Amino acid sequence: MAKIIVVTSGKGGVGKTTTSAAFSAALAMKGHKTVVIDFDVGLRNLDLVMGCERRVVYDFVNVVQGEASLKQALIKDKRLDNLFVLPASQTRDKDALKPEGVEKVLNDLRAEFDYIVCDSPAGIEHGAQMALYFAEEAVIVTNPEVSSVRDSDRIIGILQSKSRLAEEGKSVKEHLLLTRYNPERVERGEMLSVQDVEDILAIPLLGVIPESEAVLKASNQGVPVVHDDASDAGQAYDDAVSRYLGEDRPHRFLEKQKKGFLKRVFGG
Amino acid sequence: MSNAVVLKAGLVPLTTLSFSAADIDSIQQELATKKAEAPALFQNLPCVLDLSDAAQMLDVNALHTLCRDAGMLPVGVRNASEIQRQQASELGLADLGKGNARQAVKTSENTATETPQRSVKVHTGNVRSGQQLYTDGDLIILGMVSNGAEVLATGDIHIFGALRGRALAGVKGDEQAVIACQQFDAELVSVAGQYRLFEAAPEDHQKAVVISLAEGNLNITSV
Ligand SMILES: Nc1ncnc2c1ncn2[C@@H]1O[C@H](COP(=O)(O)OP(=O)(O)OP(=O)(O)O)[C@@H](O)[C@H]1O
Ligand SMILES: [Mg+2]
Repeated sequence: MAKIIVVTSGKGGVGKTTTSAAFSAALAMKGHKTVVIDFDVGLRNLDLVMGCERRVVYDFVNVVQGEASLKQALIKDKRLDNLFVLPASQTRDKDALKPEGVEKVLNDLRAEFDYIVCDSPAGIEHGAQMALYFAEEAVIVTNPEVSSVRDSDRIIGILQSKSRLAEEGKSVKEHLLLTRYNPERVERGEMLSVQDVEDILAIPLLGVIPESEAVLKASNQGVPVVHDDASDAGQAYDDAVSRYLGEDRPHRFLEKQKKGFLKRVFGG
Repeated sequence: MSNAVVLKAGLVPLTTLSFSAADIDSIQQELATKKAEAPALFQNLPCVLDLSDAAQMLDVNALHTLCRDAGMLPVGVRNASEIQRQQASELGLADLGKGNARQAVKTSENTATETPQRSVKVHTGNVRSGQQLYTDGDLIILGMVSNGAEVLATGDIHIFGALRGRALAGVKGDEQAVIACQQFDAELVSVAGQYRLFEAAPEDHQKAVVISLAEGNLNITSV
């Protein structure tokens, strides 16, 4: 039986899709059969970041509405045999997703997979609520700035009151993932520190992903950033997923980069 | 001897509505927003209309309708003009004379006070941004109150965590109500309608404090 994980944030553009792609790819790399679903109906993005946009025929909405089978809509990843993408539709709107339809698709996927990763749209409205409703665990993606933290707090409140588990009197397991972390800017007081964010949100920290050029490069190439194992962001995502799977890994990339020998000599 | 009727002097907490605008439309809008923030609070809330200053020209009939539509029960007027007194009496509203709410309370301090029974509600967990908690009685929160969250009680509020949002105690006029929290970083606190906004971090920022009302002033004491 698969575990359903929602990647959510409230605020837009903080790195949910980047995280969904990296997280699901890392789970697959570590041997878990994984499917990642794009709930951002109307704004299709995940397929680009996963590099499968040219292979989309049917989408999530088609399956929910019974116009296509799961088999027809699931796209197998180019690199990883046990990773699949269920893309969003670009032509429908978010209200096309109805709870009964979504539940049926998730139930069918559950039997086949180890993990179902749901890439939530921004906001707190219908689309975001659909993405989180059936989740058992949530990765709360937050940037170290006040508005993002505030929105994350809001979405945690919704997870705790409007998810199915909450309605059953249980709770969704929450993980904080701080992304686009820039230690220099934290040091200059322009951004909140890890400690600040942990204090305000009071949920367990899964990982810290540094602000990194590797992310932009990866999404332009359509390759989830964990494949770039030389990059800081790729390593940080790998750490986070290993921690998620129960491994004990120290947090990295929290300190300002020390200048290397050449930079110290020649400036930089 | 019959005692079918017993007269007892009592002190019943009442919310006073005072108005800083002189037009009904903006008052209506303001009420609607306030009600949206705390619908439960407005339900059958007995209140007194303070007609001083800006409100001297207002039509009591219109105000009365507004309040009823918002779910409140106006019971009297204070600081009414001659015409307003007339209107109030036709509506069956008591004329509570001149003076402000606090003085009125003081003059009746030596009359018998009935202590209403208070219930206590314990909330386990954090109150997150966008969430609101209202209780008739005392409220104990085993967790924090986030920025953008609001907790209201007719009695005391005790927060065993950080208060970063809004806390309103004694919302039906109990001036003895207090707010206590482990870590003080509130956006707004209020006791019996006396409120204080904190646009910047308050002096006792991050400390444990108790907030109470004395002589009509909000006192914030670190403990
Ligand atoms: N760690 C990072 N370092 C640098 N850039 C990043 C990082 N994470 C995300 N970005 C960039 O931020 C932008 C938004 O990322 P992404 O699309 O993943 O966010 P999102 O939360 O899914 O947005 P939306 O709310 O629109 O769905 C992208 O341009 C992405 O490349
Ligand atoms: Mg996205």
